[in-house]
Amino acid sequence: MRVQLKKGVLELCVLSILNDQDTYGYNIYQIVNKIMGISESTIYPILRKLVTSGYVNTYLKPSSSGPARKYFTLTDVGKAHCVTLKHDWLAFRKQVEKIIGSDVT
Amino acid sequence: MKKAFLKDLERYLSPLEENERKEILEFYEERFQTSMLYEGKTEQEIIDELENPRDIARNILNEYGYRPVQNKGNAVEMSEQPEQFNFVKIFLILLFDLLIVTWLVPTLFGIMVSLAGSLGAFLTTLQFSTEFGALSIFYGMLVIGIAFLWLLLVLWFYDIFIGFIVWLVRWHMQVFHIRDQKQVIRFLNRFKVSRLMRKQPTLNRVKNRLKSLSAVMVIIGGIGTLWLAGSLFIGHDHSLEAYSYSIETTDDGPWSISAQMDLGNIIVRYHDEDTVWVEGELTDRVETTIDIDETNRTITITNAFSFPGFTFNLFGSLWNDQGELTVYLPRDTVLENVEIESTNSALDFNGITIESFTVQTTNGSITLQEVTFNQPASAQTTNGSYNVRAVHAESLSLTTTNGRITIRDSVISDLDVKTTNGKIDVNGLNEDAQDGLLVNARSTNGKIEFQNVYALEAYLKTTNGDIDYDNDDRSFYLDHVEGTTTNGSVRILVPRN
Repeated sequence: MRVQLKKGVLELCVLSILNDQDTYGYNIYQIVNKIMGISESTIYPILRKLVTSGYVNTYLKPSSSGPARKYFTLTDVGKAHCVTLKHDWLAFRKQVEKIIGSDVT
Repeated sequence: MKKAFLKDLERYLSPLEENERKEILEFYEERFQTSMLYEGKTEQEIIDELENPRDIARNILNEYGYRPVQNKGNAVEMSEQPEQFNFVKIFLILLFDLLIVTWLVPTLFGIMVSLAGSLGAFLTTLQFSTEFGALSIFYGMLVIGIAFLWLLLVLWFYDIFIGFIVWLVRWHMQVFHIRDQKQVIRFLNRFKVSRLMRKQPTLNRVKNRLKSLSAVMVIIGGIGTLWLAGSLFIGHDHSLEAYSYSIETTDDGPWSISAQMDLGNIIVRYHDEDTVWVEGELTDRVETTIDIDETNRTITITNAFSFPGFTFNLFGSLWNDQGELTVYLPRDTVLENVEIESTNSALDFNGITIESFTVQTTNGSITLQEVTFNQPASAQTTNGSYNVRAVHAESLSLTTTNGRITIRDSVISDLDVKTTNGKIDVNGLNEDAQDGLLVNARSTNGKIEFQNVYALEAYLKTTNGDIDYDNDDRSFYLDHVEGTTTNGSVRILVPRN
C-alpha cells in the first residue's frame, strides 16, 4: 500500500529535486531514498518518462576524477509542470485531510 | 561481476525496445562507476546493495506498462525461464574443488589456527615481574603492543579466510543456479570482523586507536627495553661460573633428580666411582643452587632468570653459551624419580635406568640415549626436539609443538608421539622381537616417516605432510595400520591382516 502511495508522488519529488539543482540519477535516488526509502529501480523509469514528456533535459557533465555523467535539468515546461503538480498535491492533501482528519487516531 | 550483472539485467529487460533497454543499462553502468569512484565501493558491494537483476527488471517493466508476472507475456517467460546449466563450467568448478579447494581451505584454516595458537602460547608463557622498575614498564609495553598487533593479524587473516569461503560459495551458487544467493552471502558476510567494524563505528574507532597505540608501544617499549637491558640480550658481558659438588655413596640405592631451570643444560650419566657428582659451568647471569640431599637421596638444581616476562623466549636462541651441568651417578644406580621443568635447558640422559620420568621444557631439546624406563614416561616441550636412541620402555609419550621427533633402534611397546610443526622420524622400533603393541604418531605440518617399525597397531596422522611407512621384514603383518594426511601422499608398504 505504502509503495503505491509513494509512487504517485515520486514524479513530483524528482521534479522538486531538479528544481533546486541539476544532478545525476543515482544522486536523485539517494536524496529520495534518504527521506522515504524507495527501490532504486523505480527512479530510472520515472526519469525517462520525464525526459520523453519534455519536462527534463539531459546533458553530460565531465567529472574531475572519472567519466562524464549524465545530468538532469528541468526545462521551462518542466518548471511550470512542477509548480502545477505541487499545487495539485497541496490541494489534494487538504481535501484528503478534510475527510480523514490530520491527526492519527 | 558487474558485467555478469548487467548482462543478466539486459536479458531480463528483453521485452523493452532496444533504445529503452540501452538507457536503463547506461543508468546502471553510471551507477556502478559513481559508487566505485566516489564511495569507494567494490563491484560486489554495489551488487549486494542493489536488488537482483530480475527484481529490477520486473519493477522497470512494470513502470513501462508491461504487466507483471502472473499474466502471460514476455516478462513472465523471461523470469520463469529455467536457467541452463553450463556443463563446462560445472566440470571446471568440480575440478577446481578437487584440485585446489581440498588443500587450500585446510591450509588457510591451519595458518589461521596456528597464528591464533601462537598468540595463545605467547600470552600463556608471559610472566611479569615488577622488580625491575622502569624496565618492566618498557618490556610490558613491548609485549602488550606485540600481542595486540598479533591479534589484529589473526583477525585480518580470519577475514581473508571468510572472504575466500564467501567467494567460493557465491561462485558455486552461481554455477549451480541456486536461488536466494543474497541471503546466504549476507549470512556468511556477517561473520566478517570488518563487517562488524563497519556496523559498529565506535568499536572500529577503538580498534584503530588501539592499533596506533600498540604500534607506538612497540616502538617505545622496544627502544626502552633495548636501552635498559640491551646488554642482557645482545651483549656477551657474562662469564661462566664453575660448580662442583659431590658426596660419596656406598650402597646401590636409588636416587632422584628434581630441577627447575631457566638456563643451563643438564646431562645425566653414570661413572665408575662411588660418588654422586654434579659438576659443570653455568652462566653467571643466574644464580644456581645445587643440593645433594643424602637422606632423601635427591639432587635438586634450581635457577631462575627473572627478567620480566622473559620466559617468553623470543630471544632465547641468543643464549647459546648458557653452560651445562653434568650429573654423574655410580654405575647401575636407578633414578627413581626425574622431575624437571626447564625454560632454555636442554636435557641429555645417557645410559641411565629411570623409574618415573616427568619432564617439561620450553626451548630445550631432549636427548635420550640407551635409557631404560621401568614405568610409563612422558616429556613435553614447546620448541625443543627429541632425539631418542636405543631406549627401552613399556610406554613412552613425547609431545612438542615446533620440534622434530627422531627415534632410532628402540624397544617401546606403546609409543605415542605428537608434534605440530615438526617431522616424526622413527627408524627401528621393536626390530628384534617384533613385539610392539601400539604406535601413535600425530603431526600437523610435518612429514611422518616409519622404517622398520614393528607393532600390532600403527596410527600415522598429519595434515600437511607425507606419510611413509615401510619395513624390511615383509612377513610381519600388522593388525591395523591407519595413515591419513590432507595435503600429502600416503605410502604404506607394510602388509596388514
